[in-house]
Amino acid sequence: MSAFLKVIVGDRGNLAVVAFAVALAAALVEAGFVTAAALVVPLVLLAGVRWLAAR
Amino acid sequence: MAGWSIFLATFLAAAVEWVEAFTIVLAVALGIGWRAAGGAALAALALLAAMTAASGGLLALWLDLAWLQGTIGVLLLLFGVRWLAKAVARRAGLKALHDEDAEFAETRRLLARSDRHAAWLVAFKGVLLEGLEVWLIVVALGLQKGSTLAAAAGALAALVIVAAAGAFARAPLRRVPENAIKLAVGAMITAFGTFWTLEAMGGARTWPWGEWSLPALAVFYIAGGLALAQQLRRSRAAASAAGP
Repeated sequence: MSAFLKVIVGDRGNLAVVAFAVALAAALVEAGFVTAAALVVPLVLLAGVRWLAAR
Repeated sequence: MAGWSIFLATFLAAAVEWVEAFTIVLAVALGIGWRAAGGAALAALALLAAMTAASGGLLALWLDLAWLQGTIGVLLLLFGVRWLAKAVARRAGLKALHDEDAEFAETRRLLARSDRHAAWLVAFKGVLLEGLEVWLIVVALGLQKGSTLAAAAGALAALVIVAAAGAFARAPLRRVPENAIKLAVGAMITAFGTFWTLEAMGGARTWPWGEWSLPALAVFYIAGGLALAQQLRRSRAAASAAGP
């Protein structure tokens, strides 16, 4: 079961990066900054990739 | 455009996973024979096919379009970000490249202490665990706008090619550029995840270029991944030069 969950969500760091990006996207869209979300979220995800790779 | 990009993404992702699964099946086959090892692989593949059919149908029945798109988007982000980060770390020299020969030797070492039944289980579990990632991608990409056929065809085409190459070589498939494929697939999957997650939240107005935003996102993540790898490699070299 733990192997299955690891396939789905990865480790805690991976989950944290995606949760942060999705929460940020939701906040921006809710505040009406839809175009800004489309520009900011990819940058945030790439920053998350850097953090995960450098750990 | 989406159908071909879905086929390509599932084909490349599945090829990487099937190569790893083949290494395990090959190691088992040398101990208990091709018939038994192949049977274990086929049993795992049948289970994966059943899981794909069942989970795809259930998700499509339970969730409305926006929820479905959002759920798939987040699942793809979880998967794509992980693959991209792993590929960047390997390209930067922070993590060892996946070594099919080492994997083969390790499986052979484990099997030396196992009986026939345990060896069969090793092949079954190996194919099942590697195939779980393929299942996730096929279900997630296939649900979007009814692209199940393109996603399943990509995974099956990869399986046929890897099986044929493996049957011909009868050795670990070490020449596959796994990390380059992983970086490209990680970028493509992250692009799909970003596109669908934001579209589920903000609607069609989120992406002014429509579906053409997808290749733009994929190019952004590939270029970003390559730049990050270079930057991390330089940081590592500078830290080494500075000494302890």
